[in-house]
Amino acid sequence: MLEVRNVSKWFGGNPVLKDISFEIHKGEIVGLIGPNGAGKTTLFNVISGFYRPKTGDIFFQGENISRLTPEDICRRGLCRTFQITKPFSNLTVFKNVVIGALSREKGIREAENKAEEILELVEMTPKRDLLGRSLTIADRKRLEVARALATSPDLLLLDEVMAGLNPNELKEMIALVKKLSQRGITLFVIEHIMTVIMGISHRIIALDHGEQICVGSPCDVAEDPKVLEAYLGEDYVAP
Amino acid sequence: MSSGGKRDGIILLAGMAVFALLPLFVKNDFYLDGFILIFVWGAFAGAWNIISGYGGMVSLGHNAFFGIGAYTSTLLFLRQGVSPWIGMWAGAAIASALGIVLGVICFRLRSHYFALATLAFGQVASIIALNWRGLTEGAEGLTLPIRPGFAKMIFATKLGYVYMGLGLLVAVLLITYLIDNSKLGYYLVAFRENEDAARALGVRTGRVRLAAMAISSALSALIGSFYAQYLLYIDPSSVIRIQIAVQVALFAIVGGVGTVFGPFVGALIFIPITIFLRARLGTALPGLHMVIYGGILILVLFYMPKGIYGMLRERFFPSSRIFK
Repeated sequence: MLEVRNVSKWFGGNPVLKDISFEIHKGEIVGLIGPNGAGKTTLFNVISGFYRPKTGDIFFQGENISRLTPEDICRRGLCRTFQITKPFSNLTVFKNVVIGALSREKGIREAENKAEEILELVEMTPKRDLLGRSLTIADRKRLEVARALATSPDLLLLDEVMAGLNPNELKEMIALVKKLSQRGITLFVIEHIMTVIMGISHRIIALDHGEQICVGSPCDVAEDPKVLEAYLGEDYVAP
Repeated sequence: MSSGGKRDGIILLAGMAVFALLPLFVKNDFYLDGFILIFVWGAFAGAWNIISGYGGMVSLGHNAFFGIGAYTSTLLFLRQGVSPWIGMWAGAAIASALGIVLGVICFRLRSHYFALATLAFGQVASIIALNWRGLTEGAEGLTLPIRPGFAKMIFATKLGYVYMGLGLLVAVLLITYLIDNSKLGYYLVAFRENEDAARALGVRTGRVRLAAMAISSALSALIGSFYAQYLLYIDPSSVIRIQIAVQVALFAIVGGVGTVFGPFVGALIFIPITIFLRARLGTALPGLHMVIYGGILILVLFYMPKGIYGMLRERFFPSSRIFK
């Protein structure tokens, strides 16, 4: 479904992504982990069209999307959320979601129906008339997901939608992510909370300093010496 | 429709009836002139609001579009004998094309930088009008012969202008209302609120803003043409000077940007104040009316940042489908 081929990205003289290659298959949940500054969000920005890769190509459902704009990539069925949430602050939750739905629906009426459905799915219906700026962190994250879902994505990139949640909210968000997967949406997820990401992902990609240090099942990745080193420092890696 | 909807509909109809019927009972040309100015500026502020209020791209160059409308229809009539009814559309087409060019060049600029770029654009237009004497007669201006006739869009009485002005205003309000309820309106607002989020959700922000700019500049030009037909004499200072752009922005901001009726409410409140102050104080203390005008402006912006209409709407019609 998604193929990233030899992608690299530089900020000025600094390489922030070095020769990244991997594939994501339909129906998978793939986790993306790595210490702060490893390049996870940059990779999301490259895939979703906000940055152009310096080298390499990205294929989505067979089409090369590495030169497309974010809006066109979204319309092809690849949508992302933002780690630093970006709600439309002065609009209601409902209108936020309607705008997402408009990318696929013919008219306002159809988009409103779709938005109702999505709010029900993410259990935000009681908050539909609140303004974007009045939401708590947990609800902002949920709204990010709701808006993205409204665009009917085949592949959804979730950028730390679980960060900053309390244990209860976290449980709800995990349930939501699983629900989305069951509905046939392929998920590519950045997350810092290891127990969570290990629990939900089929496969995991680990980045460190812009390099792809490991790809594999959660168990493999958790035991990979390079991953341990990246997170804990070399002193902690068992000889 | 809910009972609230019914109430709003009645208020709207009553308001329309007042503006449609009241001029019939006004015999004094001074007051009729007030009506015409309110309609012209209300409509113009509404046109400005489409790109600057909904789209958040604050333009200080709309005097150019207004002036292009005024000069195009007037010149076509004077030089080629083209009826202003047709000439106004030529002006709208030129303004629209220029608006798109301006957008293509300047939409990459954000907030203040965009406003400054458009300010320069308006200033250039004004300077051209002043100095391209072969075309515009410069500061001497152009005079339309006062021979009333419907085909020439010159009305014998002020009432003709009142109703045509009202027609333009209603057209702008209707177009704004339709935009507010369309994909274009939703997309403009999404862009204004957060560009990255809008793009991630599939909003083609560039195209959307160009469409809004084209509509906004075309409407401004149509109103400019009408204004020229009312004045029957145009020169750079009456239809294209930079103060026009500032004034239209102020009316819209004071009334409430990004709303359907806000810009009109701004004109409705400020035009009478301006006329009254100028008439009362103009000779005794020249310039004092501007001071008072400025003071009121500051108070409104300080206490009602969403504008007068914006505040009223939030209090009385928070979820109205009519008063948007």
